[in-house]
Amino acid sequence: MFIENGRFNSLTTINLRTGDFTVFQGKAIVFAAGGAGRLYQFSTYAHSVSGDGDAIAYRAGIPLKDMEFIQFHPTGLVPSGILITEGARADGGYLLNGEKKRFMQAYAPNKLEKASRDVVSRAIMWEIEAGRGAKGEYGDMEYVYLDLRHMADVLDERLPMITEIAKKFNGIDAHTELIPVHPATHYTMGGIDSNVKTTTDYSGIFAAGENACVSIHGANRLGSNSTNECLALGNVAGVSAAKYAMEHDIPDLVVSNVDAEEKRIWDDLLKRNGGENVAKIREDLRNNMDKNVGIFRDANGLNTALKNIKSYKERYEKISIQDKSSTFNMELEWALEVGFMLDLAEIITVGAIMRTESRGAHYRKDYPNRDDENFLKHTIATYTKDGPKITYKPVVITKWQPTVRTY
Amino acid sequence: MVEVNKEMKEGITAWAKFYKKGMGYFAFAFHRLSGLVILFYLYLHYTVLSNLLRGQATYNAIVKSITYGPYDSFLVLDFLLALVIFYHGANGVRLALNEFGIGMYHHKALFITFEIIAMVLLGLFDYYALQFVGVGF
Amino acid sequence: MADEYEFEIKRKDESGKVYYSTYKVPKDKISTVLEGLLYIKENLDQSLSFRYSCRMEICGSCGMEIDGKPRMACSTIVEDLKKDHIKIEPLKHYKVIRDLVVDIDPFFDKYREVKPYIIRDDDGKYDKELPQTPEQFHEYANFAMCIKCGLCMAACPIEGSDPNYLGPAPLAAAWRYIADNRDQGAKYRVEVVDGEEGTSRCHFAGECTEVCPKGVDPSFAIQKLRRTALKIEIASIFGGR
Repeated sequence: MFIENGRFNSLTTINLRTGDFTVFQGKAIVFAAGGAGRLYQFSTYAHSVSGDGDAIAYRAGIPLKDMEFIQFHPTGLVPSGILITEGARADGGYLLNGEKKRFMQAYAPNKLEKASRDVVSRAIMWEIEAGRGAKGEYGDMEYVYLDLRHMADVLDERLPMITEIAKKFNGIDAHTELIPVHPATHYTMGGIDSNVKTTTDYSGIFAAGENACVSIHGANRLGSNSTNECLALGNVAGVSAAKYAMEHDIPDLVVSNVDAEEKRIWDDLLKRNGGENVAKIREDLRNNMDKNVGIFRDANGLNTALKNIKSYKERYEKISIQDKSSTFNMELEWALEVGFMLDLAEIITVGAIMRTESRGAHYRKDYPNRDDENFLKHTIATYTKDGPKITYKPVVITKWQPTVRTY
Repeated sequence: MVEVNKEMKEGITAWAKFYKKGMGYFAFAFHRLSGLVILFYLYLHYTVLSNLLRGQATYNAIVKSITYGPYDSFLVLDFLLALVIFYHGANGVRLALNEFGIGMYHHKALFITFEIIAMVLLGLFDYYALQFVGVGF
Repeated sequence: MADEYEFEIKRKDESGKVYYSTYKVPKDKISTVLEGLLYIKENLDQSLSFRYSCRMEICGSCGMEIDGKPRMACSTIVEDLKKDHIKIEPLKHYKVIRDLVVDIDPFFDKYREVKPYIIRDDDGKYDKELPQTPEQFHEYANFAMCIKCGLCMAACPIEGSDPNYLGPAPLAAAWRYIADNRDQGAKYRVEVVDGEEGTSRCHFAGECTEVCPKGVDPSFAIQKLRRTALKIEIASIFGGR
């Protein structure tokens, strides 16, 4: 996407079916391209969610806010990552460790399994780190169990999708067997820096849904609030963008930008011939993010992660796209996505390194407490050639004051 | 209207490929096949009947030759025809019920039930027909 | 017993050439057919093209003909096929763009023809919510589960002989809206649903219900639709409309 004079100018695209390079000119654009969960290996997201909307806005110069806050949902089905809804715990499901005992009382004595998602995710990871995770049936992966057996008579009425998913993908009967689960990335609190009117600091650019960061969710999103956000702010964005379009003319196209982008794809990306496999870089990036920028973060891990990301960026310069066709070239799509993912991974890691505290979904083992004095502020990442420039923006507090979180 | 995918049209034989399909598909394919057979028989029947135009004696002679005389091997086809008609009729009753929403949930059970009734009736028909032809029991 | 699956995939390249490619995929690395295809694309042959997204049978992208039957690649566990040699082809009754990718635009065009949205006489301007009891919801609930994957269109024999036929999915959608107590637009849909390419072309082969991954039961919907459409047509003869 290109911005000219602080206003939306054009969006360059490739038609997947024909391979044609198509430029969209318009008066306004609404970003609603979702989050960035597939930067991680184990995720509830669909394959297609690689943070493209965030990265495109970032590269065009729009700042991203709070990218280091990635929500991990405690119950992702092992090994596919398919979401086992929070309703399973809300309706009374238990979490059992490898020894088939409940463990949440040590981490959230009042709410137990119904505690907030980040608390439960961390609890599961602590159990696994202490060696009390279950293992063996799914390769190297360690996991805990979700127990719905005591609710077997109401399962078909209240949680039909869960019994269907467990049966279809794992061959497990939720009425009589335990469901293996592990925390998986589920939501990206961060996104395009926008406000509750869905506008950004740039004229003609609107953002809604997971792609935007107003931020409504802060450092930790509560269940079902993403749907509310999409419905409410989606409507606002649509109406605002339409009104904007009716009141403005189309700006003139800056052709040099478009030509440069065309050259970037056809003369640079497609002509690279270093032999690296795009999918391998993606797999290494995902494993790196899971291991070092996951639920538990510390300075060593984060710095290693950043070093690795830089090495992946070098490898990315040396890829070879084997698929030479212009019809439905998915390898080109993968290559573009990996480029976006590398940019976002860097933003997340740098943001996490600089936030030396724990807040919501961002937990640092070396700084386990919340530091409102120094860090009650939003992280803003702006694009520079050498990587993201991190600045901060104060949090707007109106009615609810920050207090201590207990469960 | 919609653009027709001429390239991927399987053609008129699409309905005949009932390999690896469910019971409903099998019923449908045989219904269509039996329908075609009955249609073919109908034209054959007209051809034979049209001999009435050539006078009663000619017609009687032809029918006698088919029933008793040198062409009585045609009677074998009559048994096959009976099978086809009974199948088509039973399935037809089931379809008439189902396609107006009656017994929809039990369409497979209905199919089997009607077909069994049809086969029993066919058995009776075959028994009496064979007796007529002279095969003793 | 080999420890590798053999995937035989029907390919089609840009120039239109159709051929088969065989790949060996290790058994312990994959569970579903989609994972097998991704393994092939990542490691063995980067030029294989196919649609996929959610991997949990809810987006409707990955429909293809696996081992002779139209199935969703993401929910077909290879072990359940009980074979070591898996044959994969693109969905029937659609034009193939490339490899396993088919052109589903005609399907969506047909879907739109039945007006798949709530139509009300008051044009959407009402001052309180439209109530619906659980019983009323269950009347149409399972027909609303359609993920528009197009498998039913690939399984329907009428669709094969005549692509102009509306097809199970659009007709099931028409029923889903007509059966919804909030909708008042049955009269607008009758013309297309009861027309030349509508329910009268269905011969109740029931294959659409067999292959539907979400249990939508389109053949049931079509038979109910027939009754309703007939009632509306008869009523219109006697004056009511």
